[in-house]
Amino acid sequence: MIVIRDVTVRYHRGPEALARANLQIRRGEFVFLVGTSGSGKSTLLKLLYRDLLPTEGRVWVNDQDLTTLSRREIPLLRRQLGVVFQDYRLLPYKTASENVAFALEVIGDEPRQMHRKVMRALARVGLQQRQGAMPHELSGGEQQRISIARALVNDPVLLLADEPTGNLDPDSSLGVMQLLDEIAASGTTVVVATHDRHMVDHFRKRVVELVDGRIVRDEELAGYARPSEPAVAAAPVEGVDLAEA
Amino acid sequence: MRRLEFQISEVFTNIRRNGILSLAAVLTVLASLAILSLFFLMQRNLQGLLEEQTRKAQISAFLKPGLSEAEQQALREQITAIAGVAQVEYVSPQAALARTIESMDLSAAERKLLGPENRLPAKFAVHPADPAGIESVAEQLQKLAGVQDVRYGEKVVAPLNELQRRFRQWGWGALVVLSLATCGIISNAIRLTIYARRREIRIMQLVGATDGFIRMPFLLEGLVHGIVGGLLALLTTSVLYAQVREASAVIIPWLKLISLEELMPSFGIGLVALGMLFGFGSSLVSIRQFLREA
Ligand SMILES: Nc1ncnc2c1ncn2[C@@H]1O[C@H](COP(=O)(O)OP(=O)(O)OP(=O)(O)O)[C@@H](O)[C@H]1O
Ligand SMILES: [Mg+2]
Repeated sequence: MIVIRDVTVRYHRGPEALARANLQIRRGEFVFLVGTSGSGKSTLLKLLYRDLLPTEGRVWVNDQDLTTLSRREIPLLRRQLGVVFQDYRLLPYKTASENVAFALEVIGDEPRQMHRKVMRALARVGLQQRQGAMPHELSGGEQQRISIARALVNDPVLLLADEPTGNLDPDSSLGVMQLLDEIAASGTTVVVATHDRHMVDHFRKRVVELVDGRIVRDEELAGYARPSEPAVAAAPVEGVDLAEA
Repeated sequence: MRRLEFQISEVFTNIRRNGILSLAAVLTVLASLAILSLFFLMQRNLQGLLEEQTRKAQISAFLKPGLSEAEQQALREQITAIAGVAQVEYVSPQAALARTIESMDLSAAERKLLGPENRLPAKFAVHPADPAGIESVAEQLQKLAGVQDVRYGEKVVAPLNELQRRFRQWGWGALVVLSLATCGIISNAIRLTIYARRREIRIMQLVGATDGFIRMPFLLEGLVHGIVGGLLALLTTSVLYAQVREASAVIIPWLKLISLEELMPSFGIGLVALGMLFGFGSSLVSIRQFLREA
């Protein structure tokens, strides 16, 4: 599904945001991408939706080499993906269902199919009854669900989420994360960059940790912190977290 | 088709939603095109004035006194035969006096001062085919036997010709520079409308819209802004120019400004077309640049 090989990213001046990174993710996997601020999580995700080209190395997504993709082919790639951000990125003057439909409008979908697909996507995130609401009438968690519905409406093979719970309270975060987990269970590959220690520890998925652009850990069924750190052993799921202090 | 429908509806939503910026873009087109067209009209008028002055240029070939009727006739034929002569007209001493009196606008009392005797010589008024060739025609006239003296306002004609030539060049040059500036100003206004919607464009790109799809509404918007701005500029220019013309008819009666009707369908069409072109072109350049950066 995803292959990242010897990838280095250097922004216009400045140190390496990613340094010789190697990573493989299989179809239907759920992966947490963790690391401190500036460690390169967003950079790695940007590579996957071809918002960024690596300075060195190669990136494959769904059997396509993104480093040789032409400008015209980028939209076609993006239609196979869904991307979700911390700030939801909804259009403020469109209703919830119009925001979801927007992803279909811009690729010229059939109007009859469109309505059906939008309703199905809203049902998946559990917000059919809020379809006519404007974004400002929705809670943060609901807005994030709408943005997930928009990412899902095209039946993507890969869903990328950059700190999807960054602005949410713990309960909403859990709801959103559970939704992403269900999506992965249905066969869509899901990669989530996050700071959310509780979520990572709670779901115990594959965890890829970045430090200064280097992948320092890639572990199945793991927690937020490295196993060597005593905090993990002490607080696997919830409660007082010593490592944070 | 369905996509186009969606896009067109988006264009009008956007114009409504970004009302202030749309208004700013239209006003920018309006102001810059109005300035451009007023400059164009000024240039046309000055050019016309210069041309008229040079067209009026004529050579006076004064006859030696006491030429017989036959000698005069022969001289006329000789003059007509000179290359570059368009028209030859005999002006008798009486006619010359009458013209002088008229052109000087003399009162009856002043006229009396001239006395009863008319000492003005007879002359041929020679019109050159091309004002630029006036000097060579004059030279050849001078050589003719029956001609005593030749005058053609040599002090004025040459500089006038030069001025006209230079003015044509500079006028067009200035028009081109002004057009470029106009384009720059309009594309800046359009850039603002794009900037205001950068988030939306980013979302479009994220969900897989093609560049062409994203560009389309901006191009249509640019076109609409250009047409509306162009029409308003036409209206403004017409009103302003009519007033200038009215005022000038009172203040400088001899100055005949070109009427806008004379220039009409092409001036109007040109102005609106220029608005369309600038609106569309500026949008194309700006949105392309924006998409490339993203
Ligand atoms: N557009 C850019 N231009 C220059 N440097 C950048 C750019 N984007 C990111 N960087 C740098 O690259 C490094 C990695 O940034 P990145 O955004 O990938 O980190 P992150 O792990 O997502 O951080 P956060 O958790 O704060 O979102 C940082 O040092 C950052 O300053
Ligand atoms: Mg980030």
